[in-house]
Amino acid sequence: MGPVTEAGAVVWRDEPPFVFACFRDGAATILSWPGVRFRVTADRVIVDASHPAAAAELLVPAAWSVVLALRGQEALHGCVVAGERQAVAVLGASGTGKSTAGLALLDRGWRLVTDDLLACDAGGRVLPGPPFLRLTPDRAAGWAGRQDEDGKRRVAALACSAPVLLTAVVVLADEYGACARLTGLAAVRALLGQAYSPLPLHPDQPRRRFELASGLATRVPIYGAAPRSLTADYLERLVAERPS
Amino acid sequence: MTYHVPSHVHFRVVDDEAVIFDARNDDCLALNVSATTVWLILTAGGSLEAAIEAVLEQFVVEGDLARADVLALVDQLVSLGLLE
Repeated sequence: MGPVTEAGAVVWRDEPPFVFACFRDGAATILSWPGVRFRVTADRVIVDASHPAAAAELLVPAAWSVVLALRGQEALHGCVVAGERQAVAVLGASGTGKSTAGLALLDRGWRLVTDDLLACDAGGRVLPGPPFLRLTPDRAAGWAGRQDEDGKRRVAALACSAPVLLTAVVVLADEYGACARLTGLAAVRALLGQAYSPLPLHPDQPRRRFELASGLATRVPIYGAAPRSLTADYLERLVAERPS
Repeated sequence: MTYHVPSHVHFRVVDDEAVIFDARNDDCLALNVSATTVWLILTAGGSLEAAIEAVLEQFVVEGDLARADVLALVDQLVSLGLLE
């Protein structure tokens, strides 16, 4: 693999010493990390990697989220688990406890729908993602799994193979205290803040993100809660209540 | 006089509030229930008079106050670039 060179307009660059950069090259979007580069269009991902293991880990969800965006489909950052008749999404920035909350329900027999990247089909159902959660070592204690390049452990889970309809969404953020229902503008803003990627990939992206957030807010109860505050008991009670 | 929604504005009614998104600055605002009534009439091609009439029918408010409030709301929406 040759040196990373800028090709076309810079879309995004991390602060120096940069790890990640994104460029636009004609119709393609270039995602670039040390040792890994993806050339992404709506129908193809070309991988150029001197570090294959890292490339495999970054392919989903990083490159996949760009493919979805180029196909007109936005995504949120969250963990979704499904019970017998319910499915709950826990959204939030890294470190807020999304995957940990999901793991607590998996421990009770729930199934994993997706961890990290939450995308929906045309009917608003959440699409299944890879069948593992990525947890920090302390959160993964007691669970077997391989450590990935970022130091997180990939914990395999019983997974859903079909899309699911959500019955509740919880957004974890410092601005919330005890878990409380969000409505109207507060619900939409909470969801807009959980867009999967900050990359501005398409001029219509802001509208599409608004459509995703506002559509979800009309279909599913949205809650706000403090980071790392959710227990399995609480989540099960929350989805069982299902306010009208 | 009729109004329309500019191309950079998108909205959806969520929990009885019209949540309006302005793609120019990536920001949202919400209208209360009575303002949402006005918004939905105007954005569907209804007239200012129809909006005022709807407010009088649906809410406990005097005629002159309703007219003044609706006009002030529309002025504000136009000045924010959310209606044309």
